[in-house]
Amino acid sequence: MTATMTNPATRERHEAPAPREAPRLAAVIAEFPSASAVTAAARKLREAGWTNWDVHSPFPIHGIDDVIGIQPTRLPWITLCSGATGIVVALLMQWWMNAIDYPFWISGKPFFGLPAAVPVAFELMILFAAISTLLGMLLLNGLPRWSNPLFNSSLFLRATSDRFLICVSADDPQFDRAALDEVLHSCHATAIDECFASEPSQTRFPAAMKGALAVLVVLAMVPPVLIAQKRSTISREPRFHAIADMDFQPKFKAQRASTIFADGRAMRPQPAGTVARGDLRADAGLYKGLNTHTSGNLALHDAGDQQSAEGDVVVGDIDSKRVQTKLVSRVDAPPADPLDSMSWISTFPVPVTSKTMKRGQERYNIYCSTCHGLAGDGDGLVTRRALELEQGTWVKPTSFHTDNLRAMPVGRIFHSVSNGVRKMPGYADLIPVEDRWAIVLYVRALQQSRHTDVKEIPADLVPQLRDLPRE
Amino acid sequence: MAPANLLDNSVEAPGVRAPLVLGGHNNTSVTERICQIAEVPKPPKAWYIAFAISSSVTAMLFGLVGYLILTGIGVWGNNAPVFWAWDIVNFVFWVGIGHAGTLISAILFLFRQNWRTSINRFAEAMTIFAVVCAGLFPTVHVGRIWVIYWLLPVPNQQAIWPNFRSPLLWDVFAVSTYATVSLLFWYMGMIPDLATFRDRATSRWRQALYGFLSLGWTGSARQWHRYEKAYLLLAALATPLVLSVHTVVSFDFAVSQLPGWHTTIFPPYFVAGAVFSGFAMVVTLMVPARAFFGLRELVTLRHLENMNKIILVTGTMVGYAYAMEFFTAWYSGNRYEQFAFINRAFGPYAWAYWTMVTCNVVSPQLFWFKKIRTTPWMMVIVCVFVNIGMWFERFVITVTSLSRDFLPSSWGYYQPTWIDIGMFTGSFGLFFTLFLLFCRYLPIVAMAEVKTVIPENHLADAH
Repeated sequence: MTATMTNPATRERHEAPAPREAPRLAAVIAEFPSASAVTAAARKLREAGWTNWDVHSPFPIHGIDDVIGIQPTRLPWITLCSGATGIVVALLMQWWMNAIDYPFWISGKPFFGLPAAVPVAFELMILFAAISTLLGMLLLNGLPRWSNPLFNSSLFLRATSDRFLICVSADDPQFDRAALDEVLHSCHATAIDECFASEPSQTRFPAAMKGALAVLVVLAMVPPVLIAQKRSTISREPRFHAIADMDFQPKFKAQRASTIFADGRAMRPQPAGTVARGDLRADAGLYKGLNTHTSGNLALHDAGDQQSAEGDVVVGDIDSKRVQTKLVSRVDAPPADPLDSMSWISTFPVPVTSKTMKRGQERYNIYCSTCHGLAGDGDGLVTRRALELEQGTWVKPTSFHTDNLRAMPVGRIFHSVSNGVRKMPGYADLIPVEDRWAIVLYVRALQQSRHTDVKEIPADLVPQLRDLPRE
Repeated sequence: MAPANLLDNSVEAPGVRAPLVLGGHNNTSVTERICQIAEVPKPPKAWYIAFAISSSVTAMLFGLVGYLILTGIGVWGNNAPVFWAWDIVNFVFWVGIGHAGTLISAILFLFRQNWRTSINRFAEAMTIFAVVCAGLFPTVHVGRIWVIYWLLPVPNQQAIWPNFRSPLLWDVFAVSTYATVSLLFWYMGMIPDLATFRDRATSRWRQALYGFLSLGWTGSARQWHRYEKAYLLLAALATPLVLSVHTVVSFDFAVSQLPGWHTTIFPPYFVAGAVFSGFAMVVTLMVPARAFFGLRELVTLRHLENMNKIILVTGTMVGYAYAMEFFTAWYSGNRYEQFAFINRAFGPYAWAYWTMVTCNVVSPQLFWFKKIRTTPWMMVIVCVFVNIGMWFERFVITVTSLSRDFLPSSWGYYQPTWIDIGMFTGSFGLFFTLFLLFCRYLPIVAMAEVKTVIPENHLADAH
């Protein structure tokens, strides 16, 4: 018996003019009234040794798996492996992207931190596991399978609604129709149907569709080919802005032309009285303690010119061969101080008045006396305390009352105050320029106070002297 | 017996398990009841009216989104210092609503709560549509949507990768994963029911459509075996997923430094709040739907009562979290934190704060009364207030902390524009449009699962 007419959709058959062979039996379908009935029938069928059959129901029947003998599926392993893959992929991705390929420096945190990587790793694990679970289930079930001979039977169509069926496939080599009928009747099947394999359809893919599809495929190839071509060649065209964003701004830039001003330039010339930033400290003597024509880069001067005549102002030349031979011949001598060869000023660039001197005294006592002492012996409170604490790294400040320092030009002393020397930091940020010169003036006064002939002191001040030198 | 009693299975009789499906349904009647909703040639007029309204509201939404993209984010009210406003509030609101569907599907499944079978399809659909509405807001709030692919770890012209240490990026992964997994779970659940539609199809196009979607499902025991295993696995995966997604959403706030945001209570607080608002939305939709589609015997008063009990529990958790926030702020001695909470209650947004507290803390407590939790129209009113309260909760959290943070000279008051309001309203239009299409063309109740709990199939059990 072929399919009945309840489902008009399956009624369509191609009326081929040629004689057809008899349709091949695909399966025998037996219907049962309830879940328990079909379960009992399944038990009987299995005991009778039948294979290649299955129970079809609108919902999963409890316990039917054992009755039929279905082995537990391998699906959980698929889920587990995919989930593990998801974790590994996520961690590798984050590590490579944020720590290797383009390291993200974010407030000194480690480039790859496992706690921060957990959320994305967790989500990707779930995503991979879920997708593979669904795909795995479908593939293990042989789905999608849109063409199935069972759909030709109208009896079968109730399997997804409210009927319980057993479908025995006729592909079994031991298939015996008579024996099967006997078993099914003994199980009290309420209906039996046969379903036949569908004949291969006579409908052919329309030629016009094939042509249209071919055209579409060719058109679809055009964008990737164009992209590949563009990426592999060099273009002299300006960059193409698909979305302009704020790439073209209606504003004037430095060297552009304009029609607004008479000289045709967008830039305006400097107003009168403009001082360039570099010009603010043009006076090398005042700001650096150096003679004007040596206001260039301090670092470029070298030691090679110490041998030149004293008093001469010589500018070192780093390219001169003299330098190299000098350095080679003095390989055992300590490296010469580049500051020795620079041209320091010897006169004060500020007015030398008692006002300056008093200012210098005041400032010296504030800033310098803590280390250098009130008289410049290098015995200030800080020094004494450091020595008391036996700070091995403490370098005692130089006493001002040495020949070396008495002979030092004032420009060089100013340099030491401003930029520091050895362990002393520079005070340029703390003390304005004029005050620093005042301090240098006071230092000279301190030096002079220990190194002067009594004859040079005004007569009315002599009684104030405490200790006269014993000559 | 009066008909009302026949439909009331919420009465507790000791030793007797209340029936989950009333009216003496069998497999045939369950199938007929659900299928005829989608099979009737023309849907009822009310469906057309509702669809017309919701699609016009959706059209308004699309128009506003287009205007926003062409003009810029300035059409919203977001401005210094409140840079996150209705856009983020709406995002968190919709994502939270979506979580109830996954909870019903996955978590109640793991807890073997068989009453979920009548509502899970409906709730999962609600999840999908809520996530669609949620995803709209972060997508458009970036401003330059044409470079939104920069959010993804794909090579781009900036030659730079996303920053994986940012919760905003974790959000991208979390919400995308949630949307994908929810979709897969919902689809997989529908395969057997789509096969039912296919096998009952009377027209060619219906057969083709449902045949394609059901992938050739035959309902064999072997197929069911793997299907059930896959369902269990997906439920087990979806459970930590739903907890993690709203946790990551809460990290958008908690990982920052703002007073009122930077607190470890946010992850559990947000998750509880999400379940709370989601269940309220399910109840709000389910009560009219069961009346309209004739599902009173499948979605019984017991189902509604169970959902209301969950609303009560999670609402109490949310109320507890409010109290804990206050306690933490006081106990911390941190004057910025203390100010943040005093400001919420007595500052310029006090009106929003007290709306939130009334709706979230007071309304669910009404469900202690059996009368209220078993009377459909009463529970809808409570649930609508819950949803209003939950929207205001996100608003209070987002806007108050931004409008007044550490430096008083930076303080400012935020007001929404008509575009803000229009887009939020429009998102409801999108939600309901998708929902009405779902009701018309897809199986709105999981027939296969409901059949496993009807008495007929249990009386003659296999074992």
